[in-house]
Amino acid sequence: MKNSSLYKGSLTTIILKLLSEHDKMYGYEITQKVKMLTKGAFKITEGALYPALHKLEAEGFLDVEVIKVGNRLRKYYKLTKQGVKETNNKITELEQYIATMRALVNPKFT
Amino acid sequence: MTKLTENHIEKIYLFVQQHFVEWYDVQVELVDHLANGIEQQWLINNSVPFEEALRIEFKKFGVFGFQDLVEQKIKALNIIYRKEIWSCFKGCFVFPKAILIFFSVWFLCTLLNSIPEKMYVLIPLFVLLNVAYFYQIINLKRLIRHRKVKTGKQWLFDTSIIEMGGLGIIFNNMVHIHLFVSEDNWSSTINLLAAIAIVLFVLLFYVSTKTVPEKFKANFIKQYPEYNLAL
Repeated sequence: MKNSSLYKGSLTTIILKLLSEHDKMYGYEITQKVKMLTKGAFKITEGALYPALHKLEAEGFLDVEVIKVGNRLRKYYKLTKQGVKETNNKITELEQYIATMRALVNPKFT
Repeated sequence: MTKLTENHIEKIYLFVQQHFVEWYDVQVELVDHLANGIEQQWLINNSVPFEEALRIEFKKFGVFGFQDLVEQKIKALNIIYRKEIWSCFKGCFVFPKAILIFFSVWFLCTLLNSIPEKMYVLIPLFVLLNVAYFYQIINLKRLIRHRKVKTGKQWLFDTSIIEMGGLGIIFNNMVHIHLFVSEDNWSSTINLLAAIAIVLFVLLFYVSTKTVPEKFKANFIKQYPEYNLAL
């Protein structure tokens, strides 16, 4: 999809949702997972992903673990208890937003 | 699948450093990301030269390169630091620590009530705090230099401790406080308010320079055990 700005407001929700489905994930893995799930329609840019991850970490929603993998260190992110709650809130908000948009874009007249 | 060698990884670290990311704790994540991207490219086309693959991956970070990422990281660390300060500060108002705070307020209030020249109390106190502050900063900078000489690494984490999550500027200017204090006779209420303000300020200073750095460091070592080894 060319107009990726429509996805931008949901970036943190997407990250939180992915992390809720995995024990832990690293930055590159998140970009690839999103690309795969959306069949390339949405690509998280590197310049947006890491600031979003660092912000979520500062807010206490993510925990960090650094592990040596092969010949380099890898930084993994996982949800904290507070992060799990925030994920549920964000998903509810997003679902409400989608329902509202659907009603606006495709109104059913009775 | 062609994997990057140790030599390649070293080259990526150097590349990241040359693009204004001098802190090892920020470099780690970027190096892994770039390395993953290069390996992914090689999975599709094995003949892309390393330097070219690295250039392609770097371009994905946009026109400002790593700049936004570093700025956000600094901001995030400062937020974490300030949250920790607030949490430790609040933690001081429970028994038995709270008794010491109330006693200090009472003692300082009595002292201010009995001394007409408030500056005899205030100036030595703030000079003492300032000396403690600069001692702490010099000590930390010496430690950072030592660590850099020994390991060649700098840590953004250290910088955030020096800046105290952005609160450093307050402590840096505290010696000038007497310029804003009037010499007029203080009422008992003003003496009490001044005593409370000073005790809270000293407490904030202690928490920011002593309690939080230790707690912050312990959490950071859990993430990067080699930070501890670099002493």
